[in-house]
Amino acid sequence: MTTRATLWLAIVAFQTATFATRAQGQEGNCAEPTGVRYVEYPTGGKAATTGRPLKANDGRIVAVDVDSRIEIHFDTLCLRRYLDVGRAALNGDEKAIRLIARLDSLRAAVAGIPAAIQALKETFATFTDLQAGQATSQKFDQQLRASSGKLLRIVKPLRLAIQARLSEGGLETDAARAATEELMRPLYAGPEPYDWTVLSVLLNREITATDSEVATHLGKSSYGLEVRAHLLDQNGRGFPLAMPGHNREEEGALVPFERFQFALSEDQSVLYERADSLAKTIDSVRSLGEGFATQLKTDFASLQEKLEPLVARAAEAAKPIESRAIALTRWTNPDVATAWLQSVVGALDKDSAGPAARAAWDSLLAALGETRADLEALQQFGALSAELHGATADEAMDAILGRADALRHLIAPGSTTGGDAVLLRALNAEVWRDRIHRVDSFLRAVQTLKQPLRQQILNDPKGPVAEVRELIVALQSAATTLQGITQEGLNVVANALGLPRTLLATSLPEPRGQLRVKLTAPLDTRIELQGVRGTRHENDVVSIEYRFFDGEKPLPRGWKDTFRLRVFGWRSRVVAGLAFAVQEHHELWRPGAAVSWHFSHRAWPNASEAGTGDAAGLGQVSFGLTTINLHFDNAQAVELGIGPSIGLLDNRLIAGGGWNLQVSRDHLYGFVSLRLLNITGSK
Amino acid sequence: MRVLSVRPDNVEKDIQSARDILDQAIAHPSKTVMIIRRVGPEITRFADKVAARTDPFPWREAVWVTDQRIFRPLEEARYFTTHASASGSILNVRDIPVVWLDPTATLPEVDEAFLEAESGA
Repeated sequence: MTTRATLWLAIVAFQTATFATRAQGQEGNCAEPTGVRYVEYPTGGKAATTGRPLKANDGRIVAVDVDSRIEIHFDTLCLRRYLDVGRAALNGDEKAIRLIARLDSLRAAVAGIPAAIQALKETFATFTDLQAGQATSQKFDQQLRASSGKLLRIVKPLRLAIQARLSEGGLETDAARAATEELMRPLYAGPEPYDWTVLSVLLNREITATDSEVATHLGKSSYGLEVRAHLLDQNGRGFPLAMPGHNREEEGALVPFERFQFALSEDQSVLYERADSLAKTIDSVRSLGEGFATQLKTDFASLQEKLEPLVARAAEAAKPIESRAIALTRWTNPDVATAWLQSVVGALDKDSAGPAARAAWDSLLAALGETRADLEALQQFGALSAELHGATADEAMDAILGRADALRHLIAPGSTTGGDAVLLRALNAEVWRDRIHRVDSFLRAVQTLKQPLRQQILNDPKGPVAEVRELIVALQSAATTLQGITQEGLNVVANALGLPRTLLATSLPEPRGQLRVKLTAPLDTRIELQGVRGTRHENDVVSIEYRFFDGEKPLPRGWKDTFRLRVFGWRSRVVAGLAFAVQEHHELWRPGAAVSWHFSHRAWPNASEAGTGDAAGLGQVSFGLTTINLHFDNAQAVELGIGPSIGLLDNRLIAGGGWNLQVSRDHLYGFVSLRLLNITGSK
Repeated sequence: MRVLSVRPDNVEKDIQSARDILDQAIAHPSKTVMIIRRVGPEITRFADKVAARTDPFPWREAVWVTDQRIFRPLEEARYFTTHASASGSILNVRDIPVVWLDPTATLPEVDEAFLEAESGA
């Protein structure tokens, strides 16, 4: 067997052998403050091979392709530092830092092996080509640099780790070097440049040994991590996602997204039937404006019925919080919060429970900031109650549109993207319960402080304790009022106002076999979107939640990352709508149910782009064919037209012309189809 | 590995021939070359390790100069610069000495030295 063939086989064998040992991310420099980073591998675009790095915990919603694989890499040392904020536990522990850095470099080495094998194979091939005059020295030089660099990043950390372990075990430096050489000799003993199986065994053995040392050194108080991932559909339903090493959900077979549709989907069929029914009701209109107004009124009549109970709930939920508005305003003022903290910070730093109390206070302040924003959202939304009650469709339409802009632009404090829909969050009972938990955690943390600090904080008339105690009652009342708002209800709000649905889900099912993993274990994992069991749709959301524990105690350092599924590259869609068409030499615009088959292209995003585009799809243009069920000639039972069309605003507006297949004269017609509201949430 | 030595009865010819071989090895545009100098049991063990890490790679070459007279004036200093204790000097594909090794280097250290020279690390 040739060297090339053997190397190729080695790649396959090694990838199989090392699958269980997941790799860690880059070591050391904490480019990501949390130590967590994502790499998206889409099926197209430049990032298909290089991967698209995405940040964790940066608060924005990022689009990923619907067929991507999302790898999640953990830098354990940086993650520990992130969790240690306020505890200073690891900062002075040089041995722990050394061990964890070693562990990270070994895991990075394991991760790098398949690429190194491949690169070495290509270097051999390029050298052969060079000898045969089929490659340049420059090409070989580049190839050699790449492959040797990859190999160096594997064998060097391995040697240093073995040597360090032996030295720490008591061997003198030269003896440790000699013993390391003996341990590594089998790696170089075979007929090939490296024995990859031996390399795998050596690395895994060192990882296990270092893992064990870290666990022994850090003792029982080592950190634990729970990562949960869900796919949230358009209706806010959540489906747990498989994450190897973190849960025991099973991946399904890899099924690519249907980028080229040739038939109406189920939800578009519903829209078509509705459009057909509307077409028969409306008959004809004298102008396009009249047609759209008629369509809009019908849409709003349906929306009004669904919004009224939600609006009433929002108004009721806002009342108890309003009574605590003064306290909220005070404690969300950074000057007040900082001044109070400064008054106790000296004593807190001296108390062993002080860091935990500070962390609980920080968490509470964040919750209070959200509460204040949510109160405004509930008030704005609740104010619709009086306007909608007993209103005509026209009045309801005016009321909703009058407030839609204000509601849509309510964003979380500190957020500049507008991606975080405060109204949806404000209507979520789970969010209010989480706030109760945070207030409770702070009060409990205060109780663990030593005297006299504890009494000082509890009895401080200018302190927050008395006011946040009273806030619990208001929060509980809001949570109870909002309990029972259905996913469908929230969906109506989101659709009506064009809000992102990331916060729709109120209670997500627990992934099967959810694990709490110690930071000493391999943490890297992935989400294979093509392997999601069930159907994925564009604009579905992948939500990844991180929860941390110190022993058994939850740490308030968790976060959620949100990815929106998008279809990048070329695609075709079949969309239904209500069109208004005008026949040549006629003036009346007649409605008809329309079906459009449209092609569009969305550029693949690079690493710095969120890729979500604008919510309204302003940049989306499509081209295709539209058929309309026309009603120009009363003598014809079936009257179909077909012609080219252009779609704007993500197919909300489709315009074009066509040829009536049934009439005997005046075959040509023009049409416009405008999809203003979409209660079903279909795209 | 090429072992270059000088026989007592053929000094001039051997030196010239050895220099030609050394020049040829270094001049190859796509090879990384390890020049080993000096003799002794420790150097022999070192040379064995170097051979173990050059043989599997066709782009690696090792030349053991067992007689210092083979080096032209200042040539040895050019390869080994200030590394007086070094017995091995690795020249990258552009013929620049980039890594130096003591004779006590272990097998993994020899391998890493080649990888460093090749990768430009």
